[in-house]
Amino acid sequence: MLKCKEIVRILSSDEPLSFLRKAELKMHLAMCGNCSRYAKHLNIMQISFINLFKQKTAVGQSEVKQLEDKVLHNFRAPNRKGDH
Amino acid sequence: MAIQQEQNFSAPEFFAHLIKRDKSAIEKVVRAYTEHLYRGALGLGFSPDAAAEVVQSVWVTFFEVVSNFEGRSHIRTFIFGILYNKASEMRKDQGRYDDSDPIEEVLDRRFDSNGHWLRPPVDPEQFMITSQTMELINSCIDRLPVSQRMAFCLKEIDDHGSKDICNILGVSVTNLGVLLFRAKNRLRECIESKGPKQA
Repeated sequence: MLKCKEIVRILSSDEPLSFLRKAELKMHLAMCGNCSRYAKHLNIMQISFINLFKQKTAVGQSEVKQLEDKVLHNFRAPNRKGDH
Repeated sequence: MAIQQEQNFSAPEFFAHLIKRDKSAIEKVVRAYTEHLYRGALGLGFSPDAAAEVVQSVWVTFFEVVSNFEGRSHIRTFIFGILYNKASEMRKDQGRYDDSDPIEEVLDRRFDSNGHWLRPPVDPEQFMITSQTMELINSCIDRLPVSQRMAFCLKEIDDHGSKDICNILGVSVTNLGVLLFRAKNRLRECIESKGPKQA
């Protein structure tokens, strides 16, 4: 039988699981309030993190284009090899 | 910007063009991956200005070392590996995998010797999907070591597979699991400790 401590490790490390292990995990979560709460926390954290990440990384195409142009311009500059 | 012509980028001929600094090859690769890199840098917590600078310096390094790229991994993996190194450098964080991490002890203290919860997770207002939780995560995530943050970002956000992520971070699959384990538990502990206290 899996202990709570092992459940926590399995849940948070995204360890790939065998069919049997998955069934064991499910059963444990169904019976253990603390671990299922922990699993719920992770889930909410993940969703919030993804939302946050989307907010932070929402960039306009013009902003990206400008950056691309800048990068390309630097490579076209004649002294590009002299500065490192 | 679209990355539809992705397959072309892994072709040896394409690399030959890059190494020769063929203008159109440079333009293609820069236009294909700059947005990806920029968003990656923003996701790692850099301000827009700092992120733009990081991206430029990634490209400089990329063209310096492109001739050493032996096509063992996807070009995107290669480019993100450079981003990871830059971010570690700039954060003055070695970005190396460590055998020990204080979070492991913090978590250990939550269990008894039989592996049962001693201090179970709180029943949480702070673990609802609210803007407050997002703010908490935002402040907590800045405390993650670069390696853990990058592992978490790549895993949750991008379509990078585990193998890709391992190549980017230079760790084994087992160590990637450990990094994710540490990142998630650090975040969870941080949110729990900073959230509204229960009576």
